[in-house]
Amino acid sequence: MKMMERRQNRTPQDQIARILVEFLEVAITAVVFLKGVYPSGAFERRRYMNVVVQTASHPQLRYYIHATVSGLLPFIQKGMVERVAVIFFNADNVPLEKFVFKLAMNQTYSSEVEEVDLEFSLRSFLIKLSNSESLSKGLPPDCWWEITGYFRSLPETGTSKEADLWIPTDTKQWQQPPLITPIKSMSSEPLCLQLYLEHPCLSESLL
Amino acid sequence: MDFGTLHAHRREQEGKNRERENPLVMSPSREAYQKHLAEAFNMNRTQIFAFKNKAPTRRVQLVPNSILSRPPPKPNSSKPNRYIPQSSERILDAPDILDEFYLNLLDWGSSNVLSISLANTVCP
Repeated sequence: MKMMERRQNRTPQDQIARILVEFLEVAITAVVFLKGVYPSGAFERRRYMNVVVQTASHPQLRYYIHATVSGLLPFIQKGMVERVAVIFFNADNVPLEKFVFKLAMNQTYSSEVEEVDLEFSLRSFLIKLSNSESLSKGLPPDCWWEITGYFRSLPETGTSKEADLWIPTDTKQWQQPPLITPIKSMSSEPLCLQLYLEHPCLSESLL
Repeated sequence: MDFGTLHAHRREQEGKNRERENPLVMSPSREAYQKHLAEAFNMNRTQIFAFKNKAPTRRVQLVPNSILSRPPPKPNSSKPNRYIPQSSERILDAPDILDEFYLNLLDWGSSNVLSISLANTVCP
């Protein structure tokens, strides 16, 4: 099975993207659990990379997160995805908080990739994320959330099935630059990954 | 730690302060700089995409009604507690065991077989 996978994953970018998509699914689920959007009964404890994480046991929630990050896989491989954000909104569709995963993939890197080293770095993201509850703020009871992708270039519609799954969003943006709280970052070839929080500035959050 | 975003954030603040001091003086290079900073802070909406399907609402139904209607199973209080002896039955040696925090080297199953990993070998 591993030999088949290696033949399919021809480039280090494909190899890294597959691990990254798997990591994003676990990390986004951890963010949603951390914010307490759903009752704790919708999650169950699992082990991932030898770290205890929460996974979604509710089928609708699990499908949304899995289908979203899996749909990003071909674009992450090509280096088109700049950021993946988990945004929480209030009832007026104003964003309250953003968890931003900023990605940078070196497309010219061609050496062998050490998966163990990458997984060790990603594990520290999960550990830091589970301890970052004090950095975030409480949510109103009528809030909602979504996963958005920030693309460096526009995916050509109609060229692939995955591109049609993504629609341009008219999400409200903050008028002022946000307050940024860094959580964790990693720099290694060919992937650089950064996780930080965004909150609206004080004058805008009072509105 | 990658401080690129934080540095750009600080530069944005400084730029806005200078704008308040001289609102009429705005050179073309400064306008291009402001536009570039606005793009860096996601103010260009054409690049942002959301997934076609939406996340489920907060009031998800966790347990189907058919399970809720069933009565909970009665606790079996007649089951005796298992006696666990405090002294060891056998002492085994474990050569070449790896001292690594993240490894799981011991496992034990319902068939009462204990497995232990020694270097690159698993010994039942």
